[in-house]
Amino acid sequence: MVSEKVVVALIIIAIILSVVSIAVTVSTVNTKLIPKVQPLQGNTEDSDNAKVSIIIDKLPESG
Amino acid sequence: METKDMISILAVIAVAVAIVNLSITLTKVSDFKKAITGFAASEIGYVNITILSDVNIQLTNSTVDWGRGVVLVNDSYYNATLTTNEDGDATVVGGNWSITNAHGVHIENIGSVNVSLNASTDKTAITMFGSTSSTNQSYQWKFTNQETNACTGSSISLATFQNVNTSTTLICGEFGAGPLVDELYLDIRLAVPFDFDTSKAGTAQTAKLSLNATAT
Repeated sequence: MVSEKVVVALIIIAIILSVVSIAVTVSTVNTKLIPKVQPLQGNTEDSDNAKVSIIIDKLPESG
Repeated sequence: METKDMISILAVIAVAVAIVNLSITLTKVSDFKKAITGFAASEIGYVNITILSDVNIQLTNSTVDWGRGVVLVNDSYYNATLTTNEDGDATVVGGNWSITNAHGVHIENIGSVNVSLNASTDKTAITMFGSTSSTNQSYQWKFTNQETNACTGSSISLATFQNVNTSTTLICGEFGAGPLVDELYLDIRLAVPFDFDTSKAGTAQTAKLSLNATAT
C-alpha cells in the first residue's frame, strides 16, 4: 500500500515538471528570434559583348 | 482496487507523462536553437551583415549595325569612313551606309564595386575587309568617359580612335561603380577600302567585341 504522503509527493512532482516544461517552451518561443540570414555570393567577374556589323556591296557595273 | 491505489497509479502515470513531456520539450528547443542566430534581449536588436562584392557591367546600344552600302570612290576618297558619335548621329563619308542603327555603345558598371575593364575583338580590319592593297582600311575603337573620371588607369589613350586589338587590352584599371563615375562610351570607326575582298561582298561582316570586368 502506498501512503497518502507518497501520492501527494508524486502529484506535486508531476505538476512541477509540467510547469517547468511549459515555462521552457513559452520562454523560448516568446523570445524575439533573429532568423539566420543566408549570405548571397556575388559575382567577381562579368562579361558582355558588343557587335559591329556591315554589308559591303559592289558598285554596279557601269554600262 | 481502493480509491487511494487508483490515485497512486494515476500519479505515477502523471509523473511519467510529465517526464516525457519535459524531455521532448528540451530536445525540440535544442533543435530550434540551431536554426537561429540569437535573440534580442531588449526591444532593439542588431544584425551584422556583410555586403559582398557584385560585378556587373551592362551594355546598351550594343549592336552597331551599318546595314548595306557601297564605297563611293572619287579623287578624295579611297575608302568610306563610318564613325559612331556617342549618343549623337554617326557620320558616313565616302559611302552610303545608313546611320539609323549606328550609335556609340554605352557601357555602365551597375555592380557594387569598382572593376578593371578589358576589351578584345575577334576581327581586325584585315579580316573584316581584306583590302587587296592592304591600305585604306581600318577598324578602330574609342573609349570615352561619359562621366568624368569613370575610367582611370587605362593602357590606351581614352577619347582617341585606335586600332582594335584581338588580344585582351586593359581599358580601365579602375572603372567606378558609384553614381556619376560609372559610365563610358565605346565608339567605332570603320574605314572600308574601295579594293575590299570581293568575296565578302553582299554578306554581313560581323565582328564581336568582348568586354570583361573583374573586381579590383
